[in-house]
Amino acid sequence: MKNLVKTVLWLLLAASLLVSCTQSGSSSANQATGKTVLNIAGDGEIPTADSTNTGNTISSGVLYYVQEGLVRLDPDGNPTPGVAESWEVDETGTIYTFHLREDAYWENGVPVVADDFIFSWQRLADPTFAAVSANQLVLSGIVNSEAILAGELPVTDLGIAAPDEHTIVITLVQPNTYFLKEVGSTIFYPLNREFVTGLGDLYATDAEKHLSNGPFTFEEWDGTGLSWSYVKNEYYWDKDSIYLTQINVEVIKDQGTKVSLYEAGELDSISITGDYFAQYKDDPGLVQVPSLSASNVEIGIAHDQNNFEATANGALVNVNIRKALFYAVDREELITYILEGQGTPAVGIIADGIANNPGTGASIGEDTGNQVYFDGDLAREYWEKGLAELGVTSITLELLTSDSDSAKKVGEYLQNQWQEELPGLIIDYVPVVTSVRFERMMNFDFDLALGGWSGGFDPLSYIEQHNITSAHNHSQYVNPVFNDLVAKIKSEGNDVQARWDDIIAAQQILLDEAVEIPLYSGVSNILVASNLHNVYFRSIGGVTVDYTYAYFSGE
Amino acid sequence: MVITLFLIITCTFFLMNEMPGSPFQNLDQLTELQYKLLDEKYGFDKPVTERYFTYLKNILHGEFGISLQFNNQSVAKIVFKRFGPSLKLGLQALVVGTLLGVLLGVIAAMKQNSWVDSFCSILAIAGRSVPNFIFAVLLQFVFAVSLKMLPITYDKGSLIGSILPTLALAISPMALSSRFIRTQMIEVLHSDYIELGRAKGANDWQLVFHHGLRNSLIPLITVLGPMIVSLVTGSLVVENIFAIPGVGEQLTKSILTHDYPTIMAITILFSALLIFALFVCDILYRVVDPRLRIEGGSS
Repeated sequence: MKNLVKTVLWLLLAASLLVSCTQSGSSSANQATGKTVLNIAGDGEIPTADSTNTGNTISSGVLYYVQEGLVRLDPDGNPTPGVAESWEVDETGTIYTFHLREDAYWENGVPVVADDFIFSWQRLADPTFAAVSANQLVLSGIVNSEAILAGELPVTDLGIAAPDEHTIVITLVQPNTYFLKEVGSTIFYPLNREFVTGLGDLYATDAEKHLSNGPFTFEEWDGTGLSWSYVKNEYYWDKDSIYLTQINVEVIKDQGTKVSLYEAGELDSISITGDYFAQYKDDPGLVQVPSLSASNVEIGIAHDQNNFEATANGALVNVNIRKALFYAVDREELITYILEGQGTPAVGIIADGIANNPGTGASIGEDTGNQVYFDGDLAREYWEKGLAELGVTSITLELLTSDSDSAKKVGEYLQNQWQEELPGLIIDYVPVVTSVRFERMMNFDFDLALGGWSGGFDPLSYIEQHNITSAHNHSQYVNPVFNDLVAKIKSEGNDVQARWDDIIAAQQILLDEAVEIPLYSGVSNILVASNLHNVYFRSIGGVTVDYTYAYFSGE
Repeated sequence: MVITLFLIITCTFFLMNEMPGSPFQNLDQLTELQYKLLDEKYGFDKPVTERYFTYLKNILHGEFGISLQFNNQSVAKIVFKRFGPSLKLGLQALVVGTLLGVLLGVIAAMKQNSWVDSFCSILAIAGRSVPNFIFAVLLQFVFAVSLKMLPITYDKGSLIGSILPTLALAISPMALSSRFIRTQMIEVLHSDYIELGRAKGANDWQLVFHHGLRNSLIPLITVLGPMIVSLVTGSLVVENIFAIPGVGEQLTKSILTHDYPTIMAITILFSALLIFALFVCDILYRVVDPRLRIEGGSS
């Protein structure tokens, strides 16, 4: 009898296990059978929810969920239909025609029409509005944007027109290979003219004063607070692809608290930094997303020219001295020991993975090979040669960095390594507040400065900063061959292969002359709960971690 | 009081003006015209003295300006929203901390040189020397993460959600008040009138709470004023650990982002609080000690 009971119990247990197995099997087929509310941690307070005035990742990360532009980007970074359901480009590559879908609505049921884009784009170009990222109009090459921002033409002259309610025509100065990707950016989102002008300066100062047209609506944000949420937008044209009913965001600034909340199941996904990376490096929920931001040391060539006596005896004008510094940094060691594995060594000036050779599909790194490596002997060879040319035995250079903990660690490492590898070199290390570092770089008042560059979709953006016309030519590098090449690249938007080859050639000039010292690209470490699926990760465009289409598997 | 406040406003305003850096983001990407227009919008194109008098005029009308860090948000709203949680937690911590501290101090004084006294001393020294964020992390780990008795972060809706941050903030006032009370109490307990009371047959507890405690409170009131202010103005680290939307964290962030109007508003708020707290302390002296009342009356 006792045995019988035992057998029955075992059978019941086995049956229940079987049932639960099939349930979890079917849940992934049907999707969204688990909970539908996602809890995540925010990175910080929202500086602004006004898409026109966005110039930071927190704001654009929030607006990504609640607004939508002409196109969206799929996980591979390719444009897919957004408010525009289709588009074409004319044969000159400068006139884009977008056809807006008829079923795109604002959260109040009003249709999204062409005028919403005209209004938003003209608002962006209006110099009196002084939008922080307005210069993107110029970078993307929108007709007349430069003159409008300088106050020379009225905003109505901007190269955007609406022949009818559902068509938008955008005219560019010259072909731009990456325009379709750029047009999906936050600052180019549409805005409802009536709603925004009705609120004036109060627009988007809290969630009630914001109008959504994206997958979610914006709720429970008081304008400066540490929490808010996104609620599924029933007016969204693609609402059937959205499984989550709500996403709650709470800003948790303390890493330890964030990790505790994740462990307790109160947060479903978080980002972690250095200290906690070691603890989770073998966790199946860990995803490392390369950030494509390039960290480098910029060289103040001009500073040296102007202060020949006062500073480094013209040392940085000497290409051999620059090359010695270039080869004397061990990036592998820097990443392994100083950054605790949080990065990938640079292979060139352009971050690897940003774009691919249109002919072969190879990435920048695969195309050019690793151009940036550590070679102590080579470094010393250049160093001796440089010293001999300058007729000195010792050089003192100032190294400028921000005063954050992470920047100071890298700064101290560089100081130590350069002094060790290059006899006679004295590095005067000066950590300062970021805004001061920035000011000094913009005034060309530095020898060596730890900086970084997050380029756009176009690989040219990484090297263009060394062009003579760029405000970011901190080194004041001047080379007519390079400048002509950049001008040529800008004119050959339609011939993608020639453009690519020239970009590679231009980068080679900068590397051969050691105009900057590339170090590494960063990574973001993201933890995702095991029952959360369909989360997308992106290195560029949109948000790093995209929960828009996510769903939970059932218990 | 008004003069003190005026001096503080003046000093802060001119010192802040000397801070290196700029409040505008993406400075590098602005055209000259845009930069000029931004300057005009926030009034930075005017000389510093003119801006100073405009500012004084505005605050007299209760206008604290528009934040530079949050687009188009009024500074008064930011500070008001952030001050609520800090004030609530600060006052809770003050009450809990002082009551516990007084209790510990009295017990230590009555059982002078016993193990109870030593225990209280250790507790007080630890409370004074270990920063409150260490306690915050410890409390969070023990009661929220391990025992799962209380929420990990602050919850503005519930009392339970405020227990851990209150305790973390209460450690310092507890330690401070227990030391003051103990020292004073020992002195008072050896004074003649207590001896007289004891001779008359009053029991120890009666003596301590009816006669001794009141006289021991005077030095405590002196330190309590500034302490109230430091409690309600919030602690950056404790606020970060419990994810509290408090004013301490806001001040730090405002300084880092050069949000001048917000820095000014918070400075004025803190100074006004301190001045007010000191004023209340003066009144409390007279309530607690009748001798001061007579002196005050005659002068």
